Amino acid sequence: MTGPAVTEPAFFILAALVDAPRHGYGIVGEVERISGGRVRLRVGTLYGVLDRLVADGLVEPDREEIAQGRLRRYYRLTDDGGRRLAEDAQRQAENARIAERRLRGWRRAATP
Amino acid sequence: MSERGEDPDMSEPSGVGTERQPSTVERRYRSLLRVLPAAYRATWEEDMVATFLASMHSDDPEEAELIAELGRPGMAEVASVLALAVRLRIPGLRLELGGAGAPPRGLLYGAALRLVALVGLLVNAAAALAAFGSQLWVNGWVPLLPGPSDELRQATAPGFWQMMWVPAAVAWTLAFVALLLGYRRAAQALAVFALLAELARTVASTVDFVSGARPYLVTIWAALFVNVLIVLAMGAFHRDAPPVRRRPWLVALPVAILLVLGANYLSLHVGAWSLAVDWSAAYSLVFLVFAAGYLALPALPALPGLRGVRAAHRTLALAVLAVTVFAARSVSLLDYAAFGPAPQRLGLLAAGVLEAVAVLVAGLPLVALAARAVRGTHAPVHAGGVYG
Repeated sequence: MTGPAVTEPAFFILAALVDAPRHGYGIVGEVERISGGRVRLRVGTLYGVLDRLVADGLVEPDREEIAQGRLRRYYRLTDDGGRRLAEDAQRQAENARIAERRLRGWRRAATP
Repeated sequence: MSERGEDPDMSEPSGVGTERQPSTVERRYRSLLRVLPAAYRATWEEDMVATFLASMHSDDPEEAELIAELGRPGMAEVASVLALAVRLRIPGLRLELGGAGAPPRGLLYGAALRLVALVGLLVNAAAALAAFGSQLWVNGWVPLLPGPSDELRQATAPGFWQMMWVPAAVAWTLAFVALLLGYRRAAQALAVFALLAELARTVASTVDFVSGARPYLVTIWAALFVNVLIVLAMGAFHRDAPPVRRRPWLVALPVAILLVLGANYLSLHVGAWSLAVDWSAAYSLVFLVFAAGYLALPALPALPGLRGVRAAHRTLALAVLAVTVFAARSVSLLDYAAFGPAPQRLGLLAAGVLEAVAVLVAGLPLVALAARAVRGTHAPVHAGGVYG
């Protein structure tokens, strides 16, 4: 049973955690990098989504460090989070294929 | 600025957030985070502050110092935190107003506010339908009644913005009906629309007042304020709110229309004393009748129809109405004092003060009973369609 579609910020946060646990600022940077600069997460948005992802069991705290007297919490992707990301990626790919097929016919019709 | 994602804390301390004393930018960000619920902040605040400060970090010591002392969260960041606050607080507000899982006190507040909203909508719908009926009569379209005088016909010819009473009246009526039928979102949207139309009319009336075409001012702004409270109280009709029991309200509507028509008729036949038959007087009189009956209930014989009428949420609703009516009556006395016709001014003021005192006398025991009910709320209020 697939879950509901994830939002774009949630999708990119999950994707950013695939290869390694990251802290908040690390997630922001990785999301911006893998989206080609298109998705720039504000801190309010990031933690609103992280809160939901943790509550849904898709992300979990990995470890905490104190750096320069400041708490730094790392997050990692759970198995459920990886599955949800894969499902959503497949869903988006399927949507893109449908749109591409339709657009090919439209482009042919539009070409004189 | 460092590349996003690079660890700014691995370098030598360069200013932002590295001192034991919080920097100005950190203090400002923590102030912004206070819009978030305390429980959420307890879990996430330090994380958010660390991430924010990391995003503001600069490798240039001078720039870092400037940021530390003068920096502030940007508009986009402020907007993201405010949006998060709204998203987090909506479930809490729903709980406060009796949503699913609400504590007993939340159920009580929700039930009382819904009753206040229904009373307010009933009054506005009755006034609207009475106004339509009156307009039909002024236009000579009511065959059984003698027509209006020419003077009255001329006096009721309003300007464009004053005609905003028409869309407001339609919207109030439809909002009331929609709520009875269970279309709460439509009712809320219609009420907001009605309020905006009332605002336009109130502004137009204020312009008329300034130009000397209208005799009073405070009363109309007080009426607008009451309507704002009605619209806010409609927020208690959330998705977990029980359905409204329609019959009592459908019976009350024609009775209310007749009362309004009666007051309108009276105001046309008392000459210079017409100011005494204003909305504040009407609210006061109706409130007094209901308050007296409600307070007298324990002393009445235990008739079947009266069993269960006295309930905590009704007491609280009447207390809220007492405060509202008293405030409206009190501020409208300013209109009497400033603009009442000279020969009748003292009489108008005396009548108005008498009404305000009567509302106060009836309202105080209701407020005391309501406070006791709120303090003593333990068991859930029976909230199954009891609005009547």
